[in-house]
Amino acid sequence: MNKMEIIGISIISCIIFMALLSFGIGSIIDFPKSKQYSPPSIQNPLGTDDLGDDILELLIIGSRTSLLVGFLGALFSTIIGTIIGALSGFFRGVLDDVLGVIIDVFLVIPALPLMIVLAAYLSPSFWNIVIVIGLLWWPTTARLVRARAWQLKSAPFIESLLALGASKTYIVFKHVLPNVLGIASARFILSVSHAILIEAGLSFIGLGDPTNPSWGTMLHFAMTRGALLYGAWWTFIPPGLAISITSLAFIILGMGLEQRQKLSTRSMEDII
Amino acid sequence: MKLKNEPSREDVELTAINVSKIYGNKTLALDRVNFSIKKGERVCIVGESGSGKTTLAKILCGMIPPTSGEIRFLNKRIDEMSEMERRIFRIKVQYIPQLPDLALDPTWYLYDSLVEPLRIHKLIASKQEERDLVREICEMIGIRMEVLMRKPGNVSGGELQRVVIARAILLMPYILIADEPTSMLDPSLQAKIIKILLDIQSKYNMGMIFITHDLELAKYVSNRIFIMFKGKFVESGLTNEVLINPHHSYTKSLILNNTS
Ligand SMILES: Nc1ncnc2c1ncn2[C@@H]1O[C@H](COP(=O)(O)OP(=O)(O)O)[C@@H](O)[C@H]1O
Ligand SMILES: [Mg+2]
Repeated sequence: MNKMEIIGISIISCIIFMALLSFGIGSIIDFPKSKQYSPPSIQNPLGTDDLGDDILELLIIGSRTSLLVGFLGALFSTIIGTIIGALSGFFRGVLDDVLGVIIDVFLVIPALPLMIVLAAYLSPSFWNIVIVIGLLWWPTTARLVRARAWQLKSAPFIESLLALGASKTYIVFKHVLPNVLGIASARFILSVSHAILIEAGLSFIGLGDPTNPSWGTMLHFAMTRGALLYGAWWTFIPPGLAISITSLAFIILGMGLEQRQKLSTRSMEDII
Repeated sequence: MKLKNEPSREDVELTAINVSKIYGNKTLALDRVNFSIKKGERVCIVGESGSGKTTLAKILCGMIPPTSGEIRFLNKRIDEMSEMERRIFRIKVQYIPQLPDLALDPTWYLYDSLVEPLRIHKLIASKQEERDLVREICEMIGIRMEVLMRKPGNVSGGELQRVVIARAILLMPYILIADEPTSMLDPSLQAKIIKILLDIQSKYNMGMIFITHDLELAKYVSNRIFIMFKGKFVESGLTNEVLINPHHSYTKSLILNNTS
């Protein structure tokens, strides 16, 4: 493990612990209610919001949604991107032309505005946000995987399988996919970071799932319910920091993994 | 050891007639090459890097199509074969690629890569039979069974090259093409690998094509030799005769360079 992986994993572990802790609220731990917008104190270490709810409690509850949406959205987009990229890169030909155009179209469309439109059009719910992120965030992954799949096509072991008469579907699923899994997983980790940010953005402008509050939802309420006017900085600094630190942790981990990926494939790129 | 659906034939011949290969409309890699090998023969193709040896090897085993000319196996053009005939060709003509690094899938265990060709062609009836066959071949080639439980990144170059050879041998080919099989290995290993290949050749009476740029090696392993220069065979014949009494100036310079 390199330094970046260790830092990333440590921070992410803390956040996951926080998300797990949210299941124990009310039984294992309890957060007392207090006056509206009371500043940080011994009783409410991060203060309270407009309803007198403890900010730390909301932060812990919010970590669950933020993390889960990020994780599932990234998973969804990575699976789509990897499969499309692998097929397109390996088969080339008409399929690649068509998929290439689709990838390019998705790459030039500004993703965030489109997501806002889609999220607003679909009703705001947990799964809709996951699907929107998944549907719009796959092209970069697809493009990377496609380049690798294309390289692999001329690797001796693939050539010899083709000469042996192995079917192309067999080769794609048994050999190409396992070999792009390395970059796909590095991309996945980076995508989690993006997905967390996107979810936060959508929730912030009010397109989040109201029944599953996230860190973005906290920012949304801080803005719409006058915390800014009130000067209650403790309502928006903690969720803002949580979003930044978490997405940064995934970026650091993803960069660490990508570095390892580069190291282990350097010899291969030199040869091909 | 015998595989299912094996035609027992002695009259095996692999021939290239007037074969040319042009890469991407401009690189003439092969220029009207004629070549043939029969079962039981040891033939060497010698030439400097970039002369077209690998290209010819890949065309001979059907990996890439020639731009013009034809390849014949068992008296049949390989591009006009029926599915059945093509299957036999794919099994019975094997190629050991030049670079052992990516010769096997880096994400697969060596055992699975080793038996993969057998599984693709459903040549083995049971797991037990498969394991017995693997054990027999590994003993012959000198592969420790525990090596097969690793992936390509975790074994030495020599071990990897042995597995690649074993993979081709498992199919009991009539014709085996070894493309610079030792160029990536250190000298002490080179001799061992060459000995393994020669032993296999005589044991199963295969036709074996050695591709090399080493004339000493060619002298040692082959009966017949082809000298390739810029995509053409400039000279061919019995190895001893060609090397003792070369006619073409390129062959002469090769011999000079090799002895100095
Ligand atoms: N896939 C390819 N695409 C384009 N040119 C190639 C390709 N493979 C080989 N060549 C060219 O064909 C010529 C012969 O190459 P090769 O058959 O690999 O020679 P050798 O094996 O004797 O070193 C070289 O000039 C090489 O650059
Ligand atoms: Mg070569």
